[in-house]
Amino acid sequence: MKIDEILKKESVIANLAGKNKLDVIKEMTECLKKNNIIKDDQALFETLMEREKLGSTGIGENVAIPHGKSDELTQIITVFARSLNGVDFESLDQKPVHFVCMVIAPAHSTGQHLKALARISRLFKNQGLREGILKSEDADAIYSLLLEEDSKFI
Amino acid sequence: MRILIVGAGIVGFNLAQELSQEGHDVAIVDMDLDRTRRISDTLDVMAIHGNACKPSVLVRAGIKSTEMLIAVTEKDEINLLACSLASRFNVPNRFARLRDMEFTTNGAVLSPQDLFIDQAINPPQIMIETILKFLETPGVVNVAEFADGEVLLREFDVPENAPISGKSIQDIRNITLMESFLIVAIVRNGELVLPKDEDIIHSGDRFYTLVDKEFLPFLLPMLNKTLDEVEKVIIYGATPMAIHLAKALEEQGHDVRIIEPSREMAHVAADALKKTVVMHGSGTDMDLFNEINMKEADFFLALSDDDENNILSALLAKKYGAKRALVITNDPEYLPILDSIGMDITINPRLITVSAILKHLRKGRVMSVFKLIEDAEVMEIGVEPDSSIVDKQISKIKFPKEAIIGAILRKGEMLIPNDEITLEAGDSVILVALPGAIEKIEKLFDRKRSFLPFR
Repeated sequence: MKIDEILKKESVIANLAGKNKLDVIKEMTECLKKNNIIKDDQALFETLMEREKLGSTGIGENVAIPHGKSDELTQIITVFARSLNGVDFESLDQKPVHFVCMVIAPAHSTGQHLKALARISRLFKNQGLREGILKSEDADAIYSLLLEEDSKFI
Repeated sequence: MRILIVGAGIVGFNLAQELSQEGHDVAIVDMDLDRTRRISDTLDVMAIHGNACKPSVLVRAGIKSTEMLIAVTEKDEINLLACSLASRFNVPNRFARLRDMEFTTNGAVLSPQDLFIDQAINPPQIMIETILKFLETPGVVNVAEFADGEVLLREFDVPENAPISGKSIQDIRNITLMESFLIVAIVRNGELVLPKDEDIIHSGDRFYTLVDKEFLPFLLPMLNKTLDEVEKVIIYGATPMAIHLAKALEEQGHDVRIIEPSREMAHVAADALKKTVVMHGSGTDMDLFNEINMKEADFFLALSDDDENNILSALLAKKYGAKRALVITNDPEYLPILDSIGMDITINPRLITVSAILKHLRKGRVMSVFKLIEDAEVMEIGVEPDSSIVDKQISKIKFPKEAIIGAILRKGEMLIPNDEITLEAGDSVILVALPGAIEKIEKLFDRKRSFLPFR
């Protein structure tokens, strides 16, 4: 699975307005509604927050991968957002999160979302990519950087 | 198969027990009459009293018709000699435990193969790898790996205010539908139970989980809200293994101290290590504990060769404020009580060695077995084309109640089992089985423990 199959350019947010986890997840689900990918952003928001209550999806090194299922979808989609100032995501390592990659899978998805989550967490282990994203001018630059880095994986 | 074991210590005894139960024709040689008598009395194994370095003793033990020799005496030199003698007697498969890392590290002057050994098992190396895993993962109390390290078995403590506590197995499953892990056993008051949907995880419990290695970072925040990075590590006992471990920890940037009662060994350690501070003193010296600020220790590792001293020093270290303690005990008899006296992690090098040797011996259906302290086994079993379960839906399989499928591996990927999955030839299944279920599982998978021909 390639990132460009699940991430569209219009789903990249270069500068998050939200300062905390709640606002950020809200902002990203609203982005999906705005782009006509989902209709019920409130339901999705609640699903994602329920998962966060069980344990933060901030996996450390300034990265968070909130995720959930939605019955509105027929394929996996992602939203990527950058926060230059950093967001408190209640990560284990207590570092502020600069990179949020939200992954939403169809309700009946079986194996594909596992691949997507594993691929994204591997991708963001790359420190060079993280630094590159912080320096990027805008959403376009972030998008091409993500695709370029992803193409290095087989 | 005819198997000859040299050395009837804890490892030799356990191997003899396991292999004879699996139906092999086992003989064992030891110099100590008490040991050979004990084996004759308790196991269906031929025990020969004598020196295994003498060809005549090996002949008495039936070496001429032996297909495999496993040398596990306390002395590396005897194990080496036994393997080269075995090669003269044309024993095709030869295993040796070699404790000294000089024999097995890269660039050794003589490789194990030069010394007529097919497979050398180095327990200190395995221990170091295991201990490093404990230090990497907060809250973990037991570790094992399956499917070449792709699937991890981890046992965790559920601390106070863990987000996961108070949730039922079903709740957790519903919220984590997208994640590749499964809780396969709950340990409550020392007793292991297989989880049912309605069971609730409480603080103070421990649980075993099988997790795809990529998903471990998603699981850890469910147990702890913050992560205490392990910085300060205090080691009791400057054994060669401890020195190698300290080197690895130094390289990772940890602050390492070693306490060693023998002045001579303390000097050896101090010479071998760059940053580690080596203190000469006993593991029960309160003044020394104060001096090195035990209360700031994130981990206390009791690694000496003396079980009792290890246990005592770890108890005291915890009392003096060390956050977590890991104890090595060689005598398996201690394992059941250590948990109840508050040891966080206990490791038994002998049992680790037995598992490592058996792992190399096994082939075919049962790919690996990990014995849990709580008297249950975690097994990885292959689904063979001629078995009764192939092409069957999981819901249609008469699976014993005392066992649970934790994961299915298909083409290198971990699947979380559900009723709809149909098992395919070439899959492997990782399951947890209580003692009562093992035989039924064997039948189901038509488990025949067979052995690998070496090269």
